[in-house]
Amino acid sequence: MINISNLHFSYGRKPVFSGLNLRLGPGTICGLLGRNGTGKSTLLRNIGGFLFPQEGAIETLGFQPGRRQPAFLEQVLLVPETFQLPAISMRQWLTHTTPFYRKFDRTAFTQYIKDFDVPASPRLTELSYGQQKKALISFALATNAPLLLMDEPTNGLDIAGKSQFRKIIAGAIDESRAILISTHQVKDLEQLIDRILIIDEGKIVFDQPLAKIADRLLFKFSFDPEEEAQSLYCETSFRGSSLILPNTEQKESRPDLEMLYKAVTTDPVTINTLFK
Amino acid sequence: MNTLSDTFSFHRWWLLVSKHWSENYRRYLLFLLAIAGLLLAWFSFILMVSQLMLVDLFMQFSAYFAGLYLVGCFYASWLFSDLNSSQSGIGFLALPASHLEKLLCALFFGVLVFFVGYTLVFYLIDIPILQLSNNILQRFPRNYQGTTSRIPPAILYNLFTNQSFVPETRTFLSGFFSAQALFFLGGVYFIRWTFIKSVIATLLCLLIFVVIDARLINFFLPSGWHDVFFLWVHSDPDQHPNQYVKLPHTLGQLIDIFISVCAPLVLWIITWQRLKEKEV
Repeated sequence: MINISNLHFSYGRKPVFSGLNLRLGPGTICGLLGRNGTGKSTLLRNIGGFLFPQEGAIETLGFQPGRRQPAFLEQVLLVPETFQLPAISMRQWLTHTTPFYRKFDRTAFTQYIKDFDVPASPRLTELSYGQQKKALISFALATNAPLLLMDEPTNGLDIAGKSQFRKIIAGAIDESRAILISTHQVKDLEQLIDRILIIDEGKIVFDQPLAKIADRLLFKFSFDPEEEAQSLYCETSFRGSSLILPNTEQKESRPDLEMLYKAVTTDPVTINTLFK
Repeated sequence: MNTLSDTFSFHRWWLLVSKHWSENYRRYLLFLLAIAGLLLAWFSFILMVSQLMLVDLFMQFSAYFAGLYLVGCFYASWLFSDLNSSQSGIGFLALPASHLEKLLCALFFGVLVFFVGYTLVFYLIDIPILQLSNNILQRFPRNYQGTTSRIPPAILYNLFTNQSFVPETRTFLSGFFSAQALFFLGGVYFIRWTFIKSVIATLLCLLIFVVIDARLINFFLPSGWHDVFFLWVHSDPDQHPNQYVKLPHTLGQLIDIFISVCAPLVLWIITWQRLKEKEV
């Protein structure tokens, strides 16, 4: 679905990507993690065709995104972190926007809106930011676009909304679709994403499916100083230490994405060695 | 490779037009009301301060074109204002329609709908004001200052008939579409303060034109000759009247066609290319 090779991009003299490579297939919900300013949103905008690579190539669903052909735009939807909906009613919005998306499913949209508990309002702009975001996410999902790009989708959602978001996304994914979610809120999406991408200093420094992470790494809580010494990453608190260890004995544990992220950004080489 | 349907589909263009109208018609109605209010205020002001009831042909002509240029260029600049920020720009560019369809939708509203709407509003205000002005003049006849000649009733400035100001009307109309096309381009090219930046860019273009006209052409003219916008004049105090050299009629017509047709077309094509290259 997405094939990026040797992507170089910079804002003026400030480089963002220097030789980034990425391949993403269908049937996956991929989490894109990274520090502020590392280029998560920039990567999504490059994939969506809103920014153009200065070097290298991007192919999304067989299209060159920068050409922004209608057939491409119908199949790749970006839900940006900040957006602006028109000052019209939801009914009018649907009437005039859905004809552009031939696979739009109105029944599914109504169900998502109901699940998200978005109230009927005379105008979309009269909804709160969170409610507008829910409406936009519902719209994006109902287009049945094979590729959805979401930039901080849980920002602005209330607690119930976040849990609803997870349920709806989990229900919407199938073998023909892929969802790439950029986020800071790893905890919000921990049970949702099945592949982790970590971006740092202009490159993808970690790219692994969650199943493989659980297979190769052991996440555990320990009071044992010896284990602490052997750990790949350790977070100590007054209650003990949270550790990431090599999973040599094939034990089962639930990956803590926040810890994994910190471990990778602290020492990507050691962590990646375990996945070779 | 782009297919024809990737570049233009009438169905998609029409969808865009109806979407744009549904999202903006309230704004447009208010916009037209504001124009009507401004014209009414201006004509009322003229009626009140002018002792000669000068809602004459020239006043109507100048009011029409001043409004057309100011509002039309502002509107052209505003039509691409979504591109000023990433939050609205993504929504604009992400809509599954081609760049050409998006441009043609903007041109449909900015050129055609605006021109028809503005002209309609102008005459809706101008005709009753003119009648009022002539009624007052009929009741209280006045003479031109210092003469015994009566001020005749004013006639309606008709944009579409061969009355007075024919060459001026043609020049100003064709100039308007070129000027507006510059503001369309500015709306896509610049990132913020598009209208102000477009005004500055337009003034710079005019300045360059004037400098070329005044300096460059004069440089090549023989001594004693000077250029007045493609009209070469030889003024000799001993020789009356002045001598003139005009451009050949065909060449003059070609320049006219260039300003009225080619310049807007070329600028629209550049705008289309810029829209394709636009990043948000």
